[in-house]
Amino acid sequence: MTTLLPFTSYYSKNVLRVGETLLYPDASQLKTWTSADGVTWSSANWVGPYYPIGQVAYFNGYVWWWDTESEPGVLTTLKSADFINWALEANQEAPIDFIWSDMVVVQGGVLRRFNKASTYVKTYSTTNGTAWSSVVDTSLLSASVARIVLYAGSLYAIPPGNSTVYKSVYRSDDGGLTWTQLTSNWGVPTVTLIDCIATSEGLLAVFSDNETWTSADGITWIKKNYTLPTGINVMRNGALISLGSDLFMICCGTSYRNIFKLVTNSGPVGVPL
Amino acid sequence: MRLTLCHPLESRDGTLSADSKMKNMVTESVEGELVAVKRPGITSDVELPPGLAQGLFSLNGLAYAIIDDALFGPLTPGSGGGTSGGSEGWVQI
Repeated sequence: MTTLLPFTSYYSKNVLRVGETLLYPDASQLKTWTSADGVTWSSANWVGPYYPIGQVAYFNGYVWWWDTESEPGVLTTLKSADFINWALEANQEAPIDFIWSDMVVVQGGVLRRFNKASTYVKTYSTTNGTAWSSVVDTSLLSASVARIVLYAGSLYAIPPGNSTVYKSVYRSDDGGLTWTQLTSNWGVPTVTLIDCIATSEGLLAVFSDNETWTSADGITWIKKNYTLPTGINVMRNGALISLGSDLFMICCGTSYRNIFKLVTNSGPVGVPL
Repeated sequence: MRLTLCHPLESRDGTLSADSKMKNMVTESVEGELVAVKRPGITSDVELPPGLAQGLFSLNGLAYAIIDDALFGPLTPGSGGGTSGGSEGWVQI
């Protein structure tokens, strides 16, 4: 008997880890789901009048939602401390239109966003959720990066996997403003990256052929000799997330409602760095 | 017009979308002439780690391999080859 998640997250990055709890703000049902183990979920209905309806992030003790879609150029900010009551924090001029594909990284007290709407990745940041830095153009080609991962104090730009052209891995030591190419070919076969996360085994990436690769430095990547789950699409669309000492792939499969847990002989690998 | 089947195999962009290629064929020199020879096509079912190959055998209808004194299997088409215990990997919960 396997778990079928009680919600459908088409944007699986919306499942957040808050302490030792998984949390999913469910805009389709106007409620927040929580779970301590990924298997058993409970929900609490939101209290209006404000509701988040898209990508969220956990930062500085709050779940935040930023939106420019309802009025381009105007940034609406909601936040919630209890994940049920949502407060309108600000309506202000947007530094740039926020889009669902923005990559969000929380590093210490700074939340950084990386926007791929242009040829080159743009980045900007906030320390309080409402005041944003100027937008900076980076040297990263938008097509060359699928994930930006915080690992061992640096940011790593991970390629999309399914490109025969973009196979480079880059690292930034200044919060994503400048990038250094670590390798021009990470050696992973051309197959779509599902997600990449920092673990106690280093960077860990899962691909649409269900293979798992890890790297301690972003340069040398090693395929793990894991028994693969059956079914070619069972892990598609998912997101890697750690909870306790375990690592999960959540909201995957064609239904977006499957969940996997990584079991290894060498002990947990999900401990975030 | 005569077109040679044994054209130099090159790719201007590293892909197979343009330029000449052979499929299930090899080029051989026969009596001083290059000829195209048919060969059966194969696909990679299982990718195993590099090392000293020490045997591939069948047990109860399942395939196993030994590499560098380590047992791999049972081998599943399309897999990376499970460990002998088959206990490491992603488990649907």
